[in-house]
Amino acid sequence: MVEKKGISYWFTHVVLSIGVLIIIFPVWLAFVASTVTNEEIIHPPIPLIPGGEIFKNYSRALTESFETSVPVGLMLFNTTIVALGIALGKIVISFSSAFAIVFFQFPFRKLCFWLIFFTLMLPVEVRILPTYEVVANIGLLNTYSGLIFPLIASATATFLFRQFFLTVPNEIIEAAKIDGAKPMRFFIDVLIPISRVNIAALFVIMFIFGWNQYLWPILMTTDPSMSTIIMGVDMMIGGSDDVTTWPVVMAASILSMLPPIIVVLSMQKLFIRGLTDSDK
Amino acid sequence: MKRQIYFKGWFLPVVLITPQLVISAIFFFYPAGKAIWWSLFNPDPFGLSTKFVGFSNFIYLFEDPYYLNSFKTTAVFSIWVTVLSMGLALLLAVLTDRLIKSAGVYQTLFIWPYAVAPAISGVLWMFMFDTQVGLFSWYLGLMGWKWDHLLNDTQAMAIVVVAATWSRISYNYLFFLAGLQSIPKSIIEASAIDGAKFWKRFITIIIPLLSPVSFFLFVMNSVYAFFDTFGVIHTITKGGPEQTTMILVYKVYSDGFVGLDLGSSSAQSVVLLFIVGLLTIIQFKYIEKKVHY
Amino acid sequence: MSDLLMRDIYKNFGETKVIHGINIEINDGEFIVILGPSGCGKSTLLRMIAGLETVTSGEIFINNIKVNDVEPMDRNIAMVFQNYALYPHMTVYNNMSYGLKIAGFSKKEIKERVNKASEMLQIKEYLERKPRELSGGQRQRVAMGRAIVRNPAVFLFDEPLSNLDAKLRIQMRLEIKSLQKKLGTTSLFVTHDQVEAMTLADRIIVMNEGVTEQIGTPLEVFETPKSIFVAQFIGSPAMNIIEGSACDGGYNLNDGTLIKCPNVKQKEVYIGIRPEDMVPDDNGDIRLKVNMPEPIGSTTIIHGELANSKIPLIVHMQGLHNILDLNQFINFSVPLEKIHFFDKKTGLRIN
Repeated sequence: MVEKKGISYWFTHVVLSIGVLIIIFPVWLAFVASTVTNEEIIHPPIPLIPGGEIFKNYSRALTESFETSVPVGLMLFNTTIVALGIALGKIVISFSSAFAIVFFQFPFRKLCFWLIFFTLMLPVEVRILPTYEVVANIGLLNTYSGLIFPLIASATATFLFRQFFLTVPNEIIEAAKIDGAKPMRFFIDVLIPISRVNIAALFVIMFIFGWNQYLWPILMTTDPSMSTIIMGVDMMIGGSDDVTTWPVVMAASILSMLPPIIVVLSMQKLFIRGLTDSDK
Repeated sequence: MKRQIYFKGWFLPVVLITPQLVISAIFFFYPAGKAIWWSLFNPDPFGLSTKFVGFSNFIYLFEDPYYLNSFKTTAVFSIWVTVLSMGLALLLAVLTDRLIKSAGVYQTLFIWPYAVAPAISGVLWMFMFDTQVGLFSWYLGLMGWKWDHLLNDTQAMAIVVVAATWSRISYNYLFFLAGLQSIPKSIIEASAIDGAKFWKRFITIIIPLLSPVSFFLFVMNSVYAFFDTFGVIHTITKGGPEQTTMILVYKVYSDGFVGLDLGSSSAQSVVLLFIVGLLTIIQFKYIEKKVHY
Repeated sequence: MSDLLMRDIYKNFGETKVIHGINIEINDGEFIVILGPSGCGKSTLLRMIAGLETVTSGEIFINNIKVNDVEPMDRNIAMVFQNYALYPHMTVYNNMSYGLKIAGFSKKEIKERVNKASEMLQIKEYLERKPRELSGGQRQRVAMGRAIVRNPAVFLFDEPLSNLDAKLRIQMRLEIKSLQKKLGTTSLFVTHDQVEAMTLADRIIVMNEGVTEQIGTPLEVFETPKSIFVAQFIGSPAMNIIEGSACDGGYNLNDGTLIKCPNVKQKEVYIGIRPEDMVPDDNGDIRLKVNMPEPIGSTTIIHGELANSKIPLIVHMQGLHNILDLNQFINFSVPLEKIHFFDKKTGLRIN
C-alpha cells in the first residue's frame, strides 16, 4: 500500500535490513576470513572486521598451487572459458534452432520440436554416468570441449527464442520478402538485431549457469589444471589430516563469486528479465 | 492464434537445427538410452562381463532400505528447503513491495546471492559451522551445545537445508516481487476502501493473486531441491553421516562413481528420469500453456 | 496493353473457399480501389498479386508476364502495409534503402532515390530517426517512401490509413492521390471505407464474399449500382431498399404507396431510393412519418417510416430543420430516373 511514515514504515525497514544482514553475513564472514591470518581463524572467534592480510592472501590464492589444487588464477581462467563457451554455445544453437522451427515448414518439424522438448527432462544429473562414458570415449575428458558440449543443448533457450519469434509481426517478414531478403539475410539483418535484448538477458543467465557448474566438472576433470573455480574451492579444503589454509580458501571463494555477482549487478535489469522469461 | 508466415525451403532450417539435434543425440538421448540399458544389466565397472537381470535392479532398489531412506531424505530435504526459501522470500518481497523509494535498493541487495553457486554456499556455511574453526559452532559450544554436523544427523540435515535455502531465496524473492508488483494498485486500494486491514488484505487478495506464481515456484523449487543441490551436499556432508543426507541425486553419484555399482546407479538414474519427467509435465501442463504446437 | 491482368482467380485456404472467380483488367497508371467489407477477400486478392499468397487456380499477369510462380521481390511491386511493417531497429533511411541494398544498387543511386522520395513525402528531416520516435502519420509516410524508392510497376496498398485518426486520414488521402498522379504508377488500394474509395479511385472494384459485385468509376457505382449490395455499400446514409409488387401504373410498396413507373416488367422487385434523392413535395407520393431527426449542420438526416407501415425510411434533407413535432408526416417525391430497381431474387439491377 502507500508508503506512510510511521511504525509500519520503520518496521518494514528494520525487518528488511535484518534480512539484508542475514543474507550478507556468510559472505561477509568469508571476506573477513580472507583478510586475516590462518592463526586467527583456527582459534575462534574470528574477528568480524577485515584484517590486513588481504593482499597476501589473495595473491597466494591466485598464484600458488596447493597440494590438492592449482592456482586460483588458472582456475578462474578455465571457468571463464567454460562459462563463456556454454553461454555463447547455448545462445547460438538455440537461436538457430528456434529460427528453423518458427519460420519454416520442413519435414519432421514437429518431431524435432518434441525431441528438443524432451531434452528438458534430461538434466545432466540424470545422465551422469553414461554421459561420462560418452565423453571419455570421444576422448574429451579433461578438455574444454568436454566441459562445454554436454551442457549446451538447452531446450529452455530454444523455447524462449521461439516464444519471442512468434511475436514478430507477420508484416515485417512479408516486407522483408518484398524487399528481396532471403531467409538468411532476414536472420542476420532483422531477426538478430530485434532480438538483442532477449539475447543479452539470456546470456546473463546462461553465463551464471555455466560458471556455477559443479557436478559435471568434478566428474570429468582428473587433471587439476583443468579444474574450474567452483570445484576448485572445495578441492582446496584439505581432508581431516591436512591443514587447510583457510584464508586462502576463503579468498578463493570470494574470487569465485565475484564475476557472476558483477555480471548480475551490472546487468541487473537484463538479468531479471532473463530469469523471469526463461523459467516461465 | 496468429497465422504464422513462413519462408520457403527446407535445406536451411535443417542445417540450422542440426547442431542442437546432434548434440542432443550424442550427449542427451544416447546416454539416457544407455542408462536405461544398463539399468537392466549388472555390468561390472571394467566392462569385462555383464549379466542381463531385467528389472531386478529396480526391485532390489525398492527393497533396499537405504534407497527408500534416500527417498524420504530427499522428500524431507525438499519440503524444508521449499517452505523456508519460499516463506522467507515472500516475507521479504511483501515488505519490499510496500516501499516506493527504496524498493530498488533492497531488490539489488537481495538478488545477488543468485550468482553464488550452491557449492560455494555449501563452503560458506560449512566454514561457519566447522567443528574446529566455525564461528557458530564455537558459540554454540560455549553455550553448551556440541555442534558436529558430521556426526549428528539432525544437525547435518539442518545445515544442508539452511545452505540450500540461503542459496535459493533470491530466486523466489525475484518472482514473488514481480508477482506482487503486477497486482494492479487499484485492486489493493479498492479493498482498502472496503475496509480491509493489511493482514486481511494479504490473506484474501494477495495470496490468491499470487497463487500462479506460488505454484510455479513450488514446482521449480522442487526441481532445484532434487537436482541443483548436489553441490551443497557434496561440500558439506557428502551424504553423511551414515547416509542421513543422502538425497537421491547424490546417491546416483555415490553409488555410481564412488561405489562403482553401475547397474544400481543406472536404475536410480532411470527413477530420477521419471521424476523429472513428471515434474516437467506438471510444469508445462498447468503452468506454461504455451507449449502448443 | 494492360498493366495488370487477373484471369479466373480462385483461392482456397485448405477446405475454405475464399475467392470464387475474379477477372480484372487494370490499365497503366490507373488508381484502382478494391472496396469491400471485412472478410470479403480483398486483402487476400492484393496479397496474391504481391506474391505473398499462392493462387489456387487462375493467372496473374503483370506487364504481360505471368507472375504466378514469381517471388514477390521479382515481381516489381511494392507494398504499403496497414501496420507499416517498418524494421524497428533500422533508421528511416535504412528502412527505405533496405530493398535497394539487397538488389545491389550503388550507394550513390540509393542516396539519390531516398532523398528524392523523402523530399516528396516531407520526411527528409527524419532520415536518421528510428520508427519508434515517429508518429503514426510519419511512419505511414516512411512506409510509402520505402515503396516509392523501388520504382515499381505496381503500388499495392493494404488498408494503409485504417490506423490513423480521422483528420490525418483525410490529409493522407489527398497526399496519396496527388503522389500517385505525380508518379503515374499503377496502384491498387484496398479499403473498407467507401469514402476513401470514392475520393481516390479512378475505378472501384466492389467485392463481397470472394466475388466482384461491380467494377466501375466512382460515379458509375454510385449512380448505377449493379446490385443491392453495391447500392447499399456506397453512399451514406445507405440507400433505402423497399419491396415492391407490380400493379397498374407502377409498383406498390407494402403500405400502398404507388411508385409510378411506365415499364412494369417484373412482378416483384426491390426498389432503391437514396435518402438525398427525395425532395419535399406536398404532392409527393412518399409519405414519411418522422421518428428521429439528426441535424448535422447544413443538412438533416431524418429517420422515419413509410406512413402506413413499419418500413424504415431515411431521408437526407437540405437545410437545418428543427422538426419539433415527432410523429409528424412529411411528403416527398423522387424523380423517376433516380429510382433504382433490383430483381427480387438475384438482387441485380434491372433498369
